[in-house]
Amino acid sequence: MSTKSRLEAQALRAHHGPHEVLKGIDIALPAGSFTVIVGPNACGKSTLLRSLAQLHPSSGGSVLLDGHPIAHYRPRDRARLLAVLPQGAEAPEGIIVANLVARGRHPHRSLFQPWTAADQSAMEAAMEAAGVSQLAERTLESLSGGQRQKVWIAMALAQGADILLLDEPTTFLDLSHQIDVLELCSALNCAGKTIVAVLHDLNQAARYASRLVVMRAGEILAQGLPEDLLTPGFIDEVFHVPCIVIADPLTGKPLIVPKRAALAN
Amino acid sequence: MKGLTAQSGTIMNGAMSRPALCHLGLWLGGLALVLTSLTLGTVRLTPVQVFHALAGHESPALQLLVEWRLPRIGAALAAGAALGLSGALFQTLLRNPLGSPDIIGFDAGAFGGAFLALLAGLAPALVALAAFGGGLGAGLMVYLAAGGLRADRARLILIGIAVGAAFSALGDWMIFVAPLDIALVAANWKQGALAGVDIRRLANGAGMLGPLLPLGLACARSVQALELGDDKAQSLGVPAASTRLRLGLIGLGLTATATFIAGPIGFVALIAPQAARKLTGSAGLPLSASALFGAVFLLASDAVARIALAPRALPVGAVTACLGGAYLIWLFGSWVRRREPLR
Repeated sequence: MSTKSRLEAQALRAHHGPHEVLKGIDIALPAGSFTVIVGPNACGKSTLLRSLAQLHPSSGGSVLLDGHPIAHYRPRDRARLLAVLPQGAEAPEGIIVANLVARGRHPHRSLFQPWTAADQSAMEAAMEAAGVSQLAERTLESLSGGQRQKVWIAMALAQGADILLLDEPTTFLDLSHQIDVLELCSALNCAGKTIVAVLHDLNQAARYASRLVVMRAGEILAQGLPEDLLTPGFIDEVFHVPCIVIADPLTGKPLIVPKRAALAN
Repeated sequence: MKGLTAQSGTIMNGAMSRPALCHLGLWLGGLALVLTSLTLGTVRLTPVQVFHALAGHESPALQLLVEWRLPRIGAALAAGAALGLSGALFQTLLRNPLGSPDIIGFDAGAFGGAFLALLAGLAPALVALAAFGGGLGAGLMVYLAAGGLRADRARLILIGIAVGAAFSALGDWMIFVAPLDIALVAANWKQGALAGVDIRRLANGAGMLGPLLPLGLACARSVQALELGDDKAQSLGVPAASTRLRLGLIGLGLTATATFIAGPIGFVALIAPQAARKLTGSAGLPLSASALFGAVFLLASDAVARIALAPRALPVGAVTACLGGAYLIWLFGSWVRRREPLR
């Protein structure tokens, strides 16, 4: 794994109206890493992801993409390097999977350029990698939540970007689909993609992340390997949940077991 | 892959794709309607006579008759295409089949602006510009009243309906107080009548449509990206805010052009994009098919307006309003059937 950072924020600040939600964030995302951002609700983790992706305006500091200020990139050049799966993406009624994934080719096409063989093979490879090739002719509405999420990931892959930013990709999915999506992210990471995801479940974060970023109240409290960060004392401090941490019997990664309130003392 | 025939609209496996077939059908239907419209009127002609007149082989009187009928047909096609396209742009921008410029008062605003210019005795080109200014004014009022950047789209549509009603009432009041000659012209214009279109007004309108139509059609790629939500569009490299502004201005220009040519004709911009979507089977609103359908729809409505109660001619706006009313009832019915909230 190279340690060169693809995406970097320096003293990044952002506001929601008068409220400061990012209070000077410094973060570097190494190439080939799978970074998971966790933290209590309203700690600014989605805003951080959105600011990194230029979906939320920053009010100070800078974001660097491959060492250059991200604002200096032309939007379509940026889109070829960095793809985002935002929360609440919409699709027109009745769209079929292949056509939605094909729209991911947008930054590679222009008004007068017809659909090329390169576009077609990129689209097919993206559906193959996301495991949705069988669904190509189905409408998006006819799919389950987990399948839909994989289609959106396929669309992001068709974009041809090396960096994927995923904002709560497992929210609203049942457990098997959550695992499906995370396994897909993990496989994409092994295939060389740099991945950043916001997740809620600490155990899932610990299992899949190569780097963990823990936020609270608009600041980064700690970042590093999950096994270094996730200690009972730290979890109690950030989430106010007394717990014990054991080694996951399958992976050896930290597994958090919350204590019951009555047994906590 | 079969799904991609819809994407690229190309000919595959020796058979034409559905969107291409629809385009061809609309072109042919439009052409047949043009010829039929030329035969209609107080003096009925046969198609053969029309062909001969167009080729210059008929008696001068008949040839003149056909030449008189041409501007009206041209106006119906131009205004219909402009309305269909602007409807598709605004319905995409507002993500709502009710977010159409005729529903949210932009054509009423355009008419108000054009009427003021008419009262001031300005040249046709300036009247056209004033129509754009009026539409822009109505658009700004709706946008600001709905809360500007943080506007909720459903609220924007409700406020648009109110602003449209206000502009329409203003138009009525101006007709009431205007000098008689201008009031007569304006009253006819406000009905959405194609009968009063002269060749000069049509030429000015065509001059506006010339750049606006290609500009609007060229938005197809941006529209496809915006349909996925602003965040997704942004991540595909389409700057959402400036793209929305561009689409809105082009849509307003198209609405103003149609209003300038034929008055505030309702329901074409509302129906054409949805009908074109159903015909082509596409996801999202197809821009070129919407424009084509709008042109054919308005021409057909005008033909009906001329023959339904012949020898008395109806304003074309009355015909589109009848069809539009039926469509609205169907639309609300389908929301109720699917138990969707009335957006």
